[in-house]
Amino acid sequence: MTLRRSLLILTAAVSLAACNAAAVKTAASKLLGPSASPAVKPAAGAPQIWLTLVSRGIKFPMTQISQRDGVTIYASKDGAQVFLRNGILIGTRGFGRDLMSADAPSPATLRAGSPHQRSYYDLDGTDTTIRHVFTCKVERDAAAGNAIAEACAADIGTIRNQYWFDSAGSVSKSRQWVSQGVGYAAVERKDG
Amino acid sequence: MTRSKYLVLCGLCGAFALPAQAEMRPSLSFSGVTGLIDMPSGDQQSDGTLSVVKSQFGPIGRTTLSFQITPRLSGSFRYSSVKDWFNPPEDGITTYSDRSFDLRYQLTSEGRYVPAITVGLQDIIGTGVQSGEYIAATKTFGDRVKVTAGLGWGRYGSYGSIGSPFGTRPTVDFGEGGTLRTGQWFRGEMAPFAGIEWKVNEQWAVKAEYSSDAYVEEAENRATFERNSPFNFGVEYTTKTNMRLGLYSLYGSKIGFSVQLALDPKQNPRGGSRGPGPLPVTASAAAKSWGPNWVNDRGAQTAMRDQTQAILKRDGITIESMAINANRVHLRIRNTKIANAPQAIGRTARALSATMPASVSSFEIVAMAQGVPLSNVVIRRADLEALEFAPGADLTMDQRVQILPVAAALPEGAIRTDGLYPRFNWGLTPYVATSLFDPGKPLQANIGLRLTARYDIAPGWVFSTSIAKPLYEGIERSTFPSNSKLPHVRSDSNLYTINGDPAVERLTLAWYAKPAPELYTRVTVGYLERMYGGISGEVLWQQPDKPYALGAEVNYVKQRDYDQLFGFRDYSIVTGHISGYYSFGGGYHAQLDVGRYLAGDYGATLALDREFANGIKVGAFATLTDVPFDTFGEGSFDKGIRISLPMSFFTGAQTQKVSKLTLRPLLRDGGARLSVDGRLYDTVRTYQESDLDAAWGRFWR
Repeated sequence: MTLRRSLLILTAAVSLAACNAAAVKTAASKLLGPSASPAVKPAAGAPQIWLTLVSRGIKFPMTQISQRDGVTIYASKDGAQVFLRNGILIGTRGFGRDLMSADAPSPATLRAGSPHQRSYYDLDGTDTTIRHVFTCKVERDAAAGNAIAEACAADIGTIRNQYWFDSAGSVSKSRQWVSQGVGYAAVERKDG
Repeated sequence: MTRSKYLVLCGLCGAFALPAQAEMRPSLSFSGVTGLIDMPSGDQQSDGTLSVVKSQFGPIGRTTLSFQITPRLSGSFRYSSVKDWFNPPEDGITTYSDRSFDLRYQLTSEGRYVPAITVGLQDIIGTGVQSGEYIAATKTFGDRVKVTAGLGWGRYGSYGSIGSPFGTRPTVDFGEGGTLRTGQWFRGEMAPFAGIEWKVNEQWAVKAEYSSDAYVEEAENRATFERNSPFNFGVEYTTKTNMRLGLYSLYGSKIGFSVQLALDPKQNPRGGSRGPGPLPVTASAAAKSWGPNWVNDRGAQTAMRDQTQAILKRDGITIESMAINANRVHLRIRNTKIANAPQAIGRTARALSATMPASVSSFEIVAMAQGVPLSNVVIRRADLEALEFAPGADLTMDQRVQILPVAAALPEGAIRTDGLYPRFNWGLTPYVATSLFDPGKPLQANIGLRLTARYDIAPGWVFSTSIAKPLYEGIERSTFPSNSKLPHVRSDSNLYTINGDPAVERLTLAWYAKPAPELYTRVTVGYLERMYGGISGEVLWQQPDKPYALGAEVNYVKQRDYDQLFGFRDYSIVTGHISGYYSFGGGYHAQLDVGRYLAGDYGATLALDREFANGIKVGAFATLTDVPFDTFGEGSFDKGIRISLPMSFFTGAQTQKVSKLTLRPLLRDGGARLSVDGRLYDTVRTYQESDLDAAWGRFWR
């Protein structure tokens, strides 16, 4: 009759799962928790950005740790990362439901105002890759400082990315969708 | 419909798109299946959902574990109890307790006009007290109202019958239980039931139903409660964490409550895995220079290994050995922290890109367990560089890597890491041991401390022990000692629990080896488990690229003394099995064991599991042997449910800890197997192609 583990443990584990979802918000100011140690120490004086996770209401600096094949990787102090290709977000690591990869438009496509398709790849809870294909059109956002807005629709809903370009034609500021679990990330160059 | 409105609205206000929260999540009934209050519905849970429902009204209590086996098929295991059933008491007991098992199949999922229709069979192999069949249809109106109507037989046809279209329900002598009663299905009185659920808002829902269950035995024959009305009403509250709490008025006389917990493996409670991002891939053009003659320079090679190890340490990866030539590196690693195997391989590959000379174009990463190599994952350095930022890179990478067999012998010139052996680890953890379903006391528990220690003497040689010391002993001597007609190979389990203070649960010396690239062996000697000691030998044949494996195990064991120290009882036996393992794809796995069991009975065990790449596993097993059902006793044959829940799924942290649960309605002596630690298949399969493919999404994490 004796069983080493029981329904009780399962119940506990299930309720643990339930509790943890609530705990995310309170731990939000620290993305990864105390035990995290980053993969790379950035070089002194490396370029920095501000990253804001809009739905979590947290903002933190990230420092460039790598640049290869036109993609720049920035890392936070606790090791979370974003991948930007010419300012366009193509990946995150350590944010929860991460953007694993993306088929994203180039800044030129956006500035030209061309309609396009883009794909976001993320992982569901079973670690299965899910591809979300969005159909997008590009419009001027006069109300938001003449930003270029990318309005996209897919079966999971609609999103709206915004990009602000500097005089040299580079993305200086943006607000880009990451995933259903993370929401929007706002990216800004950090001066100095 | 409002879903799209909601999203458009959000699009306009610039907020972010949300998953389809506005839909009505199918709720669970008092019986723990998808349903209304006491009646089932036509809905199903989301594929793979594991749920637990605890409910109680008046004398009736139920605890139900359910699993959505496929998108249309679900199964439930239920423990139910009825107070004041025995009057006068029998053997000092007044409460009747019973276990039952249900299967439900959804014929149609809900469409624009078509309702969701489900056929259910309740209590199909138990004693049949709970048995009933139903067909239920559920349709959603708008996004806040669900209406259910159905027809029931058996229990569900016992009130307000409208006839017996399929003939009378035969009475069945259930004997010891455990057999299917197909002859009863959909026979006898048929009665309609119906109900409605209104979702007031995201938190609150209100329900009303008309029940076709007369509670003939509980209310009429045994008067454990009064059934005054067929109408039930309830209100349910959903917490932010998807737990539902319900309060109900039942049958015009009782107040009831239920707690519903559901776990959907597709919904990670933490959103995803936490922890720092990886080391970015280093271009070979920017690779480290190690001088002109590193190929022959052991010192330079040792430095390469040490630098690689310094990077991997953070991820809990230990390099056991490294062999390198001008264009290939062969690295053997032990992964102690990251639960996802492809992620550990991906991190190792990136570290190699940072440390290897530019001419090394091929990375061979060999995962080790118990000192034995499992497979050789060959990654082209060029692919690593080309795909790091490519859309859908995991799939492309998965297609380009090779997974090859690997021999135990190291390649020529390999540099072993010094100081890995001998190695000592130990841990002291609290534990809870439970005793379930004892007729007198269905739930009892011991709480104590468990000391585990492991000494790796040399590669493949492991000395280990586990000692438990109960601090609180809630489990009492059972007032129903085993009456088994077979040798008491398992049914005296209670005696072991109450006498083991402290208990040496395990004290073994194990030897793992790999005589051929696709052949694994294990020999374990000592006190193998809490009830048996002896010697156990196992062989496993597994090709990396095949979805199947074959194994054989032979054990000679002697039954241990109840005190679980070093003495033995008189019973000894040679037991063993031939095992076949097969992965059907899509996470469905089967295992068939044929052989001789602990009581000397011959037979076979079939286990079917649904597994997810995140490590959650849910399965069921059944054993038929040459022991006749009436000799076996209650339950007729051995069967149960097994569940694995990885801690990493719940915490998002990098840990390989897994909670395992095996639930048997009855533990008796027929079809019983030895429970030896370190069986080969579970360790070996993790790094073979079919398991790696399933989990490959995290290669780039």
